[in-house]
Amino acid sequence: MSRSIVGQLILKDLYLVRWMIAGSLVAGAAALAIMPLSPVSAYVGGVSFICVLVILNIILVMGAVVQEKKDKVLLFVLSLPVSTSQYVAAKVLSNAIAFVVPWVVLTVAAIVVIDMSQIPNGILPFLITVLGYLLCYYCVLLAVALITDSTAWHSTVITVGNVSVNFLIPFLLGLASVARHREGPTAVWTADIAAILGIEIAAGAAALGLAVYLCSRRTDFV
Amino acid sequence: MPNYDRLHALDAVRAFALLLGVIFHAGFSFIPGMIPGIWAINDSSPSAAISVLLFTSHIFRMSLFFFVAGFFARMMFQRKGARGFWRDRSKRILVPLLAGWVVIFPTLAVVWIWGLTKTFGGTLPAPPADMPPSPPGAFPLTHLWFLYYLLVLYVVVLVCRTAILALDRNGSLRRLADAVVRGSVRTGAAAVLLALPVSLFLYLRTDWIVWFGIPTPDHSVIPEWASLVGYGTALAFGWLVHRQVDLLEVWRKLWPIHLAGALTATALCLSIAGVAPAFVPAAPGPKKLGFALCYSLAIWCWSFAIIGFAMRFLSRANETVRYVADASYWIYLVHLPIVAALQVTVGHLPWHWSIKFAVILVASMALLLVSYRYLVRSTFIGQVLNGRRYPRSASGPPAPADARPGGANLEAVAPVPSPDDGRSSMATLDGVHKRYGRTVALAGLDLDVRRGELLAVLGPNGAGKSTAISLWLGLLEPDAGTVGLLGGSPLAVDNRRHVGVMMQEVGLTPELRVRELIDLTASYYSEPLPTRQTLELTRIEALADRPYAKLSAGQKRQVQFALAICGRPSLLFLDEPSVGLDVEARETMWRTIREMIDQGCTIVLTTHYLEEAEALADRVAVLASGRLIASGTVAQVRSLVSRTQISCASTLTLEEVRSWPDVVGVKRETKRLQITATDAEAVVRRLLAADDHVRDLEVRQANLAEAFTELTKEAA
Repeated sequence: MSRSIVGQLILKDLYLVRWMIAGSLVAGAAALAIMPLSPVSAYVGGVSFICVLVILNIILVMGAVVQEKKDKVLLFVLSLPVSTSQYVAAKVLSNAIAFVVPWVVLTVAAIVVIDMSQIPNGILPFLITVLGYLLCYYCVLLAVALITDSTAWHSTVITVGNVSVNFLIPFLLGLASVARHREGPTAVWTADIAAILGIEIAAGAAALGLAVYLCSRRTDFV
Repeated sequence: MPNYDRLHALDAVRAFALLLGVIFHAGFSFIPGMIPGIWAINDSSPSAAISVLLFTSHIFRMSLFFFVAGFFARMMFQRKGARGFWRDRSKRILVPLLAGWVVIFPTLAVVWIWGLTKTFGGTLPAPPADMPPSPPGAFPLTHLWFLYYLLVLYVVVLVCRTAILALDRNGSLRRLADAVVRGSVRTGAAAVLLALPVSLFLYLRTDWIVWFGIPTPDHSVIPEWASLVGYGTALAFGWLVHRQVDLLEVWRKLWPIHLAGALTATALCLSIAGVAPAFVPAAPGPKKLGFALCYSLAIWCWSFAIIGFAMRFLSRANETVRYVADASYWIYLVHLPIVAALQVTVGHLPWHWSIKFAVILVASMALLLVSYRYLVRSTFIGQVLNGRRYPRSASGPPAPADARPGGANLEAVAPVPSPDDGRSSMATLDGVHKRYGRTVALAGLDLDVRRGELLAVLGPNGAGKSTAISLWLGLLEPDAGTVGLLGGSPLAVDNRRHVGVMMQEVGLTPELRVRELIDLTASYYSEPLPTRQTLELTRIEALADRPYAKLSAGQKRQVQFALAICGRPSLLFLDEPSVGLDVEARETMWRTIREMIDQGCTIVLTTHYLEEAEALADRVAVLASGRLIASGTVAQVRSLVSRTQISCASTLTLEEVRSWPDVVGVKRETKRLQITATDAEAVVRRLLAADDHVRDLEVRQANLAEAFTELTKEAA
C-alpha cells in the first residue's frame, strides 16, 4: 500500500508536468541543433540550452511544490491516508524524475552533438560541469521549497542560483586544466574538474537528504 | 439512490452457478444412453429425472456465471484501474488456472483410468483406429476452461473498451449502448436480443450435439466461436449492465415472467432434443434452428429469472450464504476428481440412482467444505482465491467479492470496518492544549466522538473547531494532552485509511478533472467506492469531466464532499460542508450524510448553520475560546438556556416591556413584539394585563441558534 501510494503521488505529479517535460526536451533539442552551425550559433545554442534547464528547474519546483503549498493542496493530501514521509518521498522522486530525465536526455544529446560536430570534444568536461551545477541548483531549490514556505528564501535561492552561473562559467573557463584542453580533440577529465563534479553531486544529495529529514520530522502543517 | 446492498444477491447468484456445476458433474454418470468412455464411468442406475435436471441446469449455469463475472469485472476495473485489474485477475484467475491444472489434471487422469478400467472389464480400451488427429491447439483444459475463457474475454472486452473510448470521444456511442441496454431490459426484449447471436453461432456449428447446448471448450486453447460468442455475450452484457446498476431492479420485479419464459423454452427444447442426449450432430433445418433459438432464449430467461429471484430474496447480507459463496470458488476448482472418484466407487453398486446421487453429492460437498475450512479459508490458498485469510478462531467478516472469479467488492456504500470496531469512541481529545504563537486555540479540550453518531461541533469563529479536526487528522500536534483516532494515533496511516475528510480551507490540484481527482483520492483507500458510484451519490456526474479549476465555489464543495466519502470511511470529518452550496446541493448532501449514518458511519460536523446541526446531529458540542462549554442532544443544549421567546402583536412600547422583570430582551419585528424572557408565565400574565389588544400570542422555547448565542456570550 505504502509503495502504491507513493507511486500514485509520483504519477500524479508527472502527469501534471508532462507538457513541461516535453516542452523542455523540444526546446533543449532545438538549442542543441543550432549549436554546430557556427561559432555564434554555438554560443546562442549553448546559452539557450542552459536557459531551458534553468527555466525547467524553476517552473517545476515552483509549480509542483511551492504553489501546491500555497493552494493548500498539501493540506488536502496529508488529510488523506498519506504519511508525511510518503508525501516527501513522492515529491522528491517525482521532481527528480521530472528534472533528471530531461537533464539526462539533453546531456546525452549534447555529448552526441559535440562528438559528431566540429565543436572540439575538449569542451565536454566544462559542459558536464556546468550541467552538474544546474542539477545541483535544482536539488537545492527543491530542498528549500520543501523545507520552507518562505517566499523570501525561494527568491533568494533562485537569484543566487541564476547569478552564480555567470560566475561559474568564467571560473571554469579560467581554470588552467580546462583552458589547456577545451580546444583539444579529446575530453580530458582533470582532477579539479572531477572535484567540482563531486562537490556538485554531494551538495545536491546533501540538500535533498536534509529536506527529506526535516520534512519527515515536521508535525504541524496548518 | 440505488440500494447497493442488493449486490449480495449477485454474489449468491455466482455461487449458485458454480455449485450447480458440481451438481451437474455429480449427475453426469447417471445420464441414460451415454457412450461408454465419454465420462469416467456410466452408472448402472441411469435416471431420466437426473438427465432433465442436468439438461436444464446446463442451459444457463455458465452463461449466468459469465454475466456476473462481467458485471463485477467492470466494477473492479472502475475501482482499481487497468493495472490493478490485471494484477488482481492474474492472482485470482491465472494462478488458480496454472496451479490448479498441474494438480487436477493428473488426479483426474488417474480417476478416469480407474473408471474406464472398471467400465471396460479391467482393461483400458484401445483408441479407435479411425480416431481423427488432434485439432490445432489441442490441450485438456479440463473443467478449468472457464478460467482460461475469463482471461481471454477480459482481453477482448478491454481491447473493445479502449477502441470505443478512442473512437467515441463524445460518448454518443456509449449513450446509445446504454439506451439500448436499458430499453431492452425494461421491455423484456433483452432475452430475445441476446439469444440471437448465440443461436446463430450454435446453428452454424456443423458438429453440434444439441443436447449439450453451448459446446464446452475444454479441449483446445484456441477459442471456439460458439463458446466465445455465447459466454462473451454474457460477460459483455454483465459489463454493460454494471453501467446502469439500477437495471437489476427490473429483473427483481419481472422474475416470475422470466421464469415462465424459461420453463416454456426449456420444455420446447426437451421436446426437440429428448430427455437423453443423442450423440449425432444435428442436421441443418428448421428443427435445428428452432432448437437453437429456444435454447438461447432459455439461457437468458433462466439467467434473468435467477438474478431477479436473488434480488428479491437474497439481497440482504447473510453469513451462511456468504460463507458458501466464499467457499464456492474453491469447491468448483477441485470438485471434479472427488466427484468422479465417488461416481466410480458407487457406479456398479446395485442401489437406486437417487441414493447413489445423494451419496455422491453429500459426500463430495462434505469433503469439499471441510477441505475449504481447513486448507483454504485461513491459508495462503484462501489469500490467493479469496483475497484474504480468515482467522482460524473466528468466522470473520465476509471476504471481498473481488476475491472470486470475475468478482469485485459487494459492500458498496457501507463503511469499511475500522480497526477499532468494538470501541465506543471513534475519536478523542483528552485535555488537549494548542497555541498558535500567543493565540490560544484549544485550552484543555476534552471531546469524544461516539460510534455511529453525528456530532455537531459548534462555536463562533476562532473557537477551535477546525483546530480540533486538524489534530484528529494528524495535521497538527497538540502542545499538551492526547489525541486518539480509531483507538490509535492520528499519525498512523492505517487508521486514517478509515477516515474521510472535507476540510474548510484546502485546495485540490486545479488542473485535474473531477473524475481524475476522485480516482486518485480513492486509490489511497483499501476498499473505495467505484468512481461512478461516488459521482452518483453526490450528484456530480455532470462535473466528472470538468477541470476542478473551472468549477464554481459551490461545485468545488460538492467535489470535496465526494472525495470525503469515496473511501467508504467509517469516520467522516466535515468542516463547514455546506458553505456556498445551493439549496438542492445542500439537500443532496444532507441526504447522503443521513444515509451514511444509517449505514454505520460516524460523522463529525462543524457548521455555522445551526439549522443544519439541528436537522442532522445526534449530539452537539459547543466550543468557545478553545473549551467545551456545552454538550448533549439538541434538546439538552437548548434546555441549558432557560430562555423563552414570546411573540405577539401589541400596542405596548419597547421601553415599557423592557422595564419589566424577567424580560431579557425585546425588539419589534414587522409590527410584532419579540420578547426574550426568563419566566415566560409571569411575562405573559403581565402582557395580557397591560394590553387588552394583545393578539397572535406565541410562546416557544429558545431554538438552538438562540441557545448557542446565549451560551457563547456567557462563555466570552
